[in-house]
Amino acid sequence: MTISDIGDKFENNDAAGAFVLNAMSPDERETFQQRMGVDPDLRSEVDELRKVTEAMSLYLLEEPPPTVKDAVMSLILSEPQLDRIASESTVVSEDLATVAVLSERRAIRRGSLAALSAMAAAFLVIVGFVALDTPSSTVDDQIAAALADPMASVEVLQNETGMLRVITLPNSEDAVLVGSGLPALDDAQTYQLWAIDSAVEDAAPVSAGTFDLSDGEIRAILRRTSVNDPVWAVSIEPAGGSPQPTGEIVLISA
Amino acid sequence: MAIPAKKPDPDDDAGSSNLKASSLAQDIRTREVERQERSERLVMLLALAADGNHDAFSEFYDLVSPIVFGIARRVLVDRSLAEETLQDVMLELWRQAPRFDQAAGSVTGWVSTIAHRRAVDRVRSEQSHRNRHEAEALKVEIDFDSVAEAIEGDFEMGRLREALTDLPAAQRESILLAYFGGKTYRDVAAELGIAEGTAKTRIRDGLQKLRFALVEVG
Repeated sequence: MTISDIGDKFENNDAAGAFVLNAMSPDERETFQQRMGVDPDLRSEVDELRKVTEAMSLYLLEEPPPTVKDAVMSLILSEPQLDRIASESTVVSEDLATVAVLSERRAIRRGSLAALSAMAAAFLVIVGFVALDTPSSTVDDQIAAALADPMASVEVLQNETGMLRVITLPNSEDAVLVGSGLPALDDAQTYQLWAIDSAVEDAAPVSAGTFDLSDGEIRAILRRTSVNDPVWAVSIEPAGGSPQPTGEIVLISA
Repeated sequence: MAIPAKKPDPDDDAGSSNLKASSLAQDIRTREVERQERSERLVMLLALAADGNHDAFSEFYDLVSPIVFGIARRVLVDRSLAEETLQDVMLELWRQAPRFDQAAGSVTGWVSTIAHRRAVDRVRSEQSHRNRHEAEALKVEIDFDSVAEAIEGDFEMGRLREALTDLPAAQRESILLAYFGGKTYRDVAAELGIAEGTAKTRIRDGLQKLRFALVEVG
């Protein structure tokens, strides 16, 4: 699908309201999201209209029965991998409805992330192949399609022992991290990625999220943040991350 | 924007008026401080939950579950379905916690978007399931009258109900069917007997009016 096709389908921004109210078919939603990626005005309108649904939700509050919380907390306790998997795989759809489906997709995702690590040097070509081999409805397809984008931008962050590639796409909110060589941290610490606006003097770093090593490797998908043309940096922070960098900066892009 | 001066009240002296104005301003400041503190608390709890902290997620659950359950109840109506949806959404929030980007919007906005989408998916799934398995006589079509009746009787909605009431009827109908009825704009168009493009326009225009009533003035 070309940008022209997307434009033809949504000739103006009238569909923004239907998108915000989830009043589209899945196919239309996907097409609309593609157009949002290349149309800042449309994205801006959606962001504004979402403030309305956020405000509406605050007038609909209803206390749920305590049994649901018991069930949720129990499920979380019995699924200790969930948080780590969430850290690894941040490109996930919002269509998961059951724990069974969660487990199933987790298995799929493990495979795709392992592949992502293995293809660090030639990821664009390989992911292009994965995209062809993955059903279009899966989350993995979204990852593959994003990484196959020829407009991908790669920033390399390096120090004496470690290297990290930060891959971003012009039409995606994700920042894909692939690397190795950083020292393992204890449970009280984590690595945190920061985006710093290169065009603004003394710009405050904006957190893109935290990540941890898996078998010495870095394989994570975080958020690219709203910072344009950023300088990327990695610091060591207390577990859970910090609002602003407090620890040692271990990597920074040139 | 300048606030029009209030007409003098013969039973009210200047000192009392100033006191009321001061009290109102203080109340607004207090509420804004509380909102900001709550927002910052949610960001912190979510960051901790993203690192696997169960205690933080427990508190996060307490703060956002009324939002999720409230949306699910209004969209799904059925209490047990709403409870199942709440559970699904909270698990999804737990799983996606590391994705949250504070720069992209508020935690409340993120939560409400996921909750509404999941509730709408569920209501459409239930609709599809029933359409396949039940006799025509048991159709569960959600029509405008039933949605509107439920909203009008929902006194908890307060200012939202008033804002919806103030909308032109054509826009109100479209928004009620889409947001609370879980209808697509195509379904809205079919139900109201209007063109699909008209349905999209009414939804968008209605939301823009609600934005002024609920966000900008708020």
